[in-house]
Amino acid sequence: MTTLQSPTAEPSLDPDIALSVRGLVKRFPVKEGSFVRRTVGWVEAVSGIDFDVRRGTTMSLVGESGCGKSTTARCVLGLVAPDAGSILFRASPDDEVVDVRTANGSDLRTFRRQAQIVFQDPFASLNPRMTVEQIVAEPLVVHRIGNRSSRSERVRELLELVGLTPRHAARRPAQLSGGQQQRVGIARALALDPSLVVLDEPVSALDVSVQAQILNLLSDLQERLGLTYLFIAHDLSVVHHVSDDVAVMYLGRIVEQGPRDTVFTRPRHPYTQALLSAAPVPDPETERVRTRIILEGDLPSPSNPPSGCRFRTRCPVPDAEQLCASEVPTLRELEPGHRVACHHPQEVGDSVFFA
Amino acid sequence: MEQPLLDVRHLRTVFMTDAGLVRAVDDVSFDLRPGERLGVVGESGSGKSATAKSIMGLIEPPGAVIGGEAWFNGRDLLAMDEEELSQIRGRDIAIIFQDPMTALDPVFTIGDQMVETLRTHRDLTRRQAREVAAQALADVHIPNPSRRLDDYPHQFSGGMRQRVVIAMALMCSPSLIIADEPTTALDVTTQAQVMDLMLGLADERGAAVMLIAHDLGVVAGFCETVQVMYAGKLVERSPVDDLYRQPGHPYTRGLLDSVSHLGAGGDRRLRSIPGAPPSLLHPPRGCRFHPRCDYAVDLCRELEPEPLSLGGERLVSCHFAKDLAPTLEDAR
Repeated sequence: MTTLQSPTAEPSLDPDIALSVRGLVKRFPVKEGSFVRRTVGWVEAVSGIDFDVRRGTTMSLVGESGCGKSTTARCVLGLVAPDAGSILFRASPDDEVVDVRTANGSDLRTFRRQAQIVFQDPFASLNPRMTVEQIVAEPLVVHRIGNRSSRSERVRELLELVGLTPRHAARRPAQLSGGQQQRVGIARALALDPSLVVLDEPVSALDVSVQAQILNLLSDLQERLGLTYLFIAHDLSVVHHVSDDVAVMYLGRIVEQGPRDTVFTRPRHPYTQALLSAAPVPDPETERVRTRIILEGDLPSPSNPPSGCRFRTRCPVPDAEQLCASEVPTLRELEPGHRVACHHPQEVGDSVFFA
Repeated sequence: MEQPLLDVRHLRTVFMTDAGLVRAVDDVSFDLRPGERLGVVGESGSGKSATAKSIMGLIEPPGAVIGGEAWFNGRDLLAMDEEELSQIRGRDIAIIFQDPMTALDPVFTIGDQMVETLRTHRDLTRRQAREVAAQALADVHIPNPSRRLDDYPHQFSGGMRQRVVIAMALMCSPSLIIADEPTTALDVTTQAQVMDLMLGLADERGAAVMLIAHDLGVVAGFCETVQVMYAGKLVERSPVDDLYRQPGHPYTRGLLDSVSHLGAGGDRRLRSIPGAPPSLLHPPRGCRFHPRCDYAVDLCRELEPEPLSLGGERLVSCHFAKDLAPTLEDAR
């Protein structure tokens, strides 16, 4: 039996991969002028990044403000249109691969049900005039799923799933604590039974004691529902706790990526090392013995990034060959699954985290 | 016993809201030795910032300090009028806020602002003041300090702005620096840079630092003593090593358990504190932590615990501090 290849060949994707991003680029115009807004330049928020998220696992994009992690998340969800690159998604090994950038019609509708987001600020992301029931049921209404009573049943089920009770259904966001609000945000994200959830700093607006509750809930839900998470965060201890894989971003590029334990115990990129060495640890003894790598200077402007390696203006590693300014370092695999974009990858000294 | 630099007794601060009276700081007492580094940790609404603002006379209506004393160099700050206080603020006590823009005026250059502050507190000519200001900027590693004096705040990056604020705070060599989440708005790598700079300069000048943070990590690295606040109350005050090794109050322990440690096995389930901090409009009777505490008994629901000495310099406000301390140690 022969199969006819259509001219636009079905994009292929390993069945274990839920989301695959290749060469993603997103630019934003810089405008000037108060009456006539002219574009005077471009900021490349994301400059060609590649990563895969394995089905049922958590992949974290970590980096400081302006590194492009949130823009990447928004591109993945189709909330902003990328300028280049491909984003492929497959809900389950039996489903077809969806090309998020070109999808339309039923493919796009499927994708929008399958991929959901939980935002950082739970209060700002919930409509203050709606009740919890209305908020959680809204995705069902939008996608015309069920009738009033079946939706109400589903809302009850979802509230229970996220650790709330039916008596919360009639309340409004302002009547809930921060942790409860975030639970509502999670229930809403799960209403359509998605397979991929983008978690954009889901605990950074919460108090420390409440963060732990939400992190535990997210890991329970992942296990129960087989969810795939794309986790966006700047807090390294949170990232360490939740991730299977980690990609470290700096000024729009991935500088290091790999399995969590590899990146955290054997970081090779000077930026990853600096980031880990600067993260505060709640242990006075460790704090006293470890050495911090203090980066000099400030983050360069993303509208005018340094040539070659974007980290070179703050990098503590000497560049004898003058390679860093002239050549953009590409991600090279230093050990299986561990990729580093650096001309002078470092060994792990005692300067790093596990002193 | 050395004379404390700052001695706060029974401080009470309230906020009048439409819903009722919020007791933001409720009978808080502590002291600070010259040159000491004190960390104050608590979640939002615990009263840590309100404590600092009360001491500095920066509580504005609908808030008010309704009781207590704050002795500084033999004078009660809470009994002073605004004029006396403004003499002390900026000269003897410097305060650094989370958002550097609260300290900087966007319509004046950095230089103008620094010169004005200097000339208010010190007898200097404009030219001398400008020189001192340029040196202060150089101390916080701002490149081309003399030229940057003519720039406006918006021309600096976030990390640089906070460094400028630190330069301003340290210009008059204060003996106490109150830093209210000075690096919370900054990125991790900038945070380390700013913190090192601030504490290095404080040490050089022998200034005491009261560092307010929501993060037990930042405090672990930089403070000698830590006090923990919960719902307007001081629940524990301990030397830093004791606090992290053997937390005396169940809340302190809960806080330590609920942060994920980078070093520890990542897949461990976090032990979280159930529930949420109480509303200060209707705080729970007895111990304010009892609704979330694993060890609470009837006594805790009825009677508010007094600070209990655990020996050394440890004070813990828990009825069972003495019994729990070893248990907590075993459990860890």
